[in-house]
Amino acid sequence: MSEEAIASFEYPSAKVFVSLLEAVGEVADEVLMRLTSDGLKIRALDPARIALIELEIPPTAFTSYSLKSEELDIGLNLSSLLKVLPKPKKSDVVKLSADEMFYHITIEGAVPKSFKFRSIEVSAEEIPELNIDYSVKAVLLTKGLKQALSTLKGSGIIEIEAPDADHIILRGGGTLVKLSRVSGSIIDVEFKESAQSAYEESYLMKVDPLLSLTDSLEFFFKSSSPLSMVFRIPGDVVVRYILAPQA
Amino acid sequence: MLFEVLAKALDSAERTTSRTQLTAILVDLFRKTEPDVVDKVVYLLQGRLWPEWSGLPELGVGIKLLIKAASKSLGIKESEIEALYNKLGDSGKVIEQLKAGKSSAGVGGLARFVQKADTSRLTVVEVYDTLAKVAQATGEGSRDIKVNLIASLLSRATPLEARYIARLVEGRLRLGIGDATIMDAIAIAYTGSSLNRQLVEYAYNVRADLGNVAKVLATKGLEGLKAITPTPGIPLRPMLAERLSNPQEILDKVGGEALVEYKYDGERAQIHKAGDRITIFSRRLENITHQYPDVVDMAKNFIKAGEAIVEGEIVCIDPDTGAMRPFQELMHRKRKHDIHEALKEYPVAVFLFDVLYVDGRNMLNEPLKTRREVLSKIITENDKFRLSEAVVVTRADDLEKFFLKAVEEGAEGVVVKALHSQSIYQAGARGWLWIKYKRDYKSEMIDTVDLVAVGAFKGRGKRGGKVGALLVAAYDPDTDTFQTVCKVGSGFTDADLEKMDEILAPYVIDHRHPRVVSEVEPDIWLTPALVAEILGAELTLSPQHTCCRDMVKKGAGISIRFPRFIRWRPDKGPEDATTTKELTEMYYRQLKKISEEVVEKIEQ
Repeated sequence: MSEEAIASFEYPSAKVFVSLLEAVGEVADEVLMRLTSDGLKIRALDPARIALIELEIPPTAFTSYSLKSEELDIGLNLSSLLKVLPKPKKSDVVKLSADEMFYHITIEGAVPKSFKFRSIEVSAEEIPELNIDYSVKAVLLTKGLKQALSTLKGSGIIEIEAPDADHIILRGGGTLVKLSRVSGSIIDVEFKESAQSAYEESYLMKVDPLLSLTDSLEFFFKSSSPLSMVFRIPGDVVVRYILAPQA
Repeated sequence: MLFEVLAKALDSAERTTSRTQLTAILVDLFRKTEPDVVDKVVYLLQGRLWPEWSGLPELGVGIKLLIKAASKSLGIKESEIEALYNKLGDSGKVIEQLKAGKSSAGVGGLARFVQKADTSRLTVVEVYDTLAKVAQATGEGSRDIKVNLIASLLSRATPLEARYIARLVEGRLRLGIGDATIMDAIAIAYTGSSLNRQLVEYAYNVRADLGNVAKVLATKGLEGLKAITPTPGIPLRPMLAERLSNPQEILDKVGGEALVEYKYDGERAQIHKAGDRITIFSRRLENITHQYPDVVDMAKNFIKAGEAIVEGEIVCIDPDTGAMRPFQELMHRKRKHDIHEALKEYPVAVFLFDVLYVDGRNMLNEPLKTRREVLSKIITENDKFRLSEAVVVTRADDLEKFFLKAVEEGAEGVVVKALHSQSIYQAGARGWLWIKYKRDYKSEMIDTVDLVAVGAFKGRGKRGGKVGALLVAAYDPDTDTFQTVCKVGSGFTDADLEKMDEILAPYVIDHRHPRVVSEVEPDIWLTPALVAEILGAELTLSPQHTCCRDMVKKGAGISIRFPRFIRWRPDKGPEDATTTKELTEMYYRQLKKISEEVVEKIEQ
């Protein structure tokens, strides 16, 4: 297949790659992976249109990246793909080669494991562009947010408040967690005005696979507006997660 | 095709009370429908996703799940939606109302924040495909998948579209658009004339898939419809019988000569064979193949044709005596989780009565005589898979006699079928070519009776060679005779059967005892001595048995339907047994008119 493949690439960490797919899979089961000269791109809106995830991996992040046509769309059925793929080890690399009908994924470690899937039909849905003038733009320590979410687990709705430039408060089910500059959970902040909004906990938890991939994240926030979180992973890989507020 | 077109038609249909108007609305809808999606439109009008017989899961999610999806899509608390639902009682109206209220402030989710509104409109295909995914989602996490899929549709729907999406999802379209109206509309929309409705109906009867019939007509025209013939794997709507209760009138109706068949108390089955693939459909065209793996094997082994569609009745039988058991016993096949257990406990036999298709030959327009001949040629008959019990009659008293024998042996009555040259198979139609003759009255049996063993029958199968059934009789003190009532082969425990030969041995004689009045010839005659307690479903009339002969009806005695042995009564002598007079009184005391309602229930 590799000889006839229209596209092929090798990513240095199968573990990271699978985690990225897991994060996307949290949002949508069927997604379109677009390969172009700019690299790999996935944009997926969850069926209820509450959350949007975007993944961008530039060609430079790959060990090798080859594309024989201008672009190739691969329809991934993530719910079945992620069930089949084994949990990769730290040193495993992942290879993908694809034509218009099928794609091959190989997890290469001590024992290479290869899988062939049919590229499914996924309608290329128009995904809305958001243009929001955020009140708070902060850089947070992923560890702090991870702990906060884990503390608030099971609360259903999580209310987020940024009362000033030094604090971001998360509340849910009678519990309150404070992220602050002093504690180091907030690394940097650009503050215009205070903001408050509530989000569905299950949707906030969808970023969990991403929190282990990087030390910090960018956090964009405004009252009763979508929350935007940007994760920058080594190799200029960018994941953007946008979540609509509770009405 | 936009879903909005369908939603608007459904809305108009909902508001009209005139059938003519309803047909006009559907004609207009079909004219706007692209031929390649007409099947989907028809299924959605029927409130389903595919024909019932396909065996695929149908829609019908619970209201809680629907409310969850609506909450997600609209950004409104579940409790609020639930409160409105409790008030209005119609999920469609609730979601429509909430969505309409929301539209001024923008719809839920991220769409509220998109500067350029998401204007992509739902198409029929998108709605259909998504609903199909909802119906087919199973296993772990399927609840969430369903919620998300429904929410995705509701998010993009207009308030009116949301009303019908909600109702479809819940499995309650509540429009009551009948197949007949859809057929009228299809005929007018695609052929320009309601005169062609008959052809549409013919096609639907032969291929019970209205979506497919509509698509054939829309894409291939009338010639396409005419070319529709029975196809193994796709059920035909069964031919139905009229009902009469006067034998002479029945014979007159069918033209004097008739094939009279047992009307078995079982499940009517249409058995399709295509090579090794067997499919069994019920009278209501449900796929019931999984309930009858034994019948699947029989069909594979005993239908000699490569491809065939045959019709028969699946009847629960006693494996040792071959006697028929009541229809209710078959219900275990539906209820039991482990069908293989049910196979052993409730074995069945198949009595075939028609053939509709054989190896490329459409048999529908052949007269019954030809169909019956072909059927007998393609079947390897045996105990469990054979042609129905039938006789050809021209006289009303012969018909009556056969009828009583049928009832006594556990059948519901008989079906009288015309034999003339026009006796075709009218799929989906109820006509006078077939007339059922069933009892109007039945005498339910509440108490047990004590009857005297006057003969015995050797068993079959595992009871081969040993006694497996008794001929029992009531005592008539006036004539000091024992008059036969029934043959009982059920209710014996293994221990009873083991001891049977030993118990009977002292009473075995090589001829009928002079005090026994019997027209039935058992394998072994007995001196009347042993008394057995017997219970049955009802007291019935029999041309075979001599008990109370001519007292209730000329030429018939009283018998017991589905008799069961309860226990031996060693405390009773033969003269202490239930008397013929007592049986007559019981018969009249418990005689009740069988209401149509009960009859219809049994039929289904």
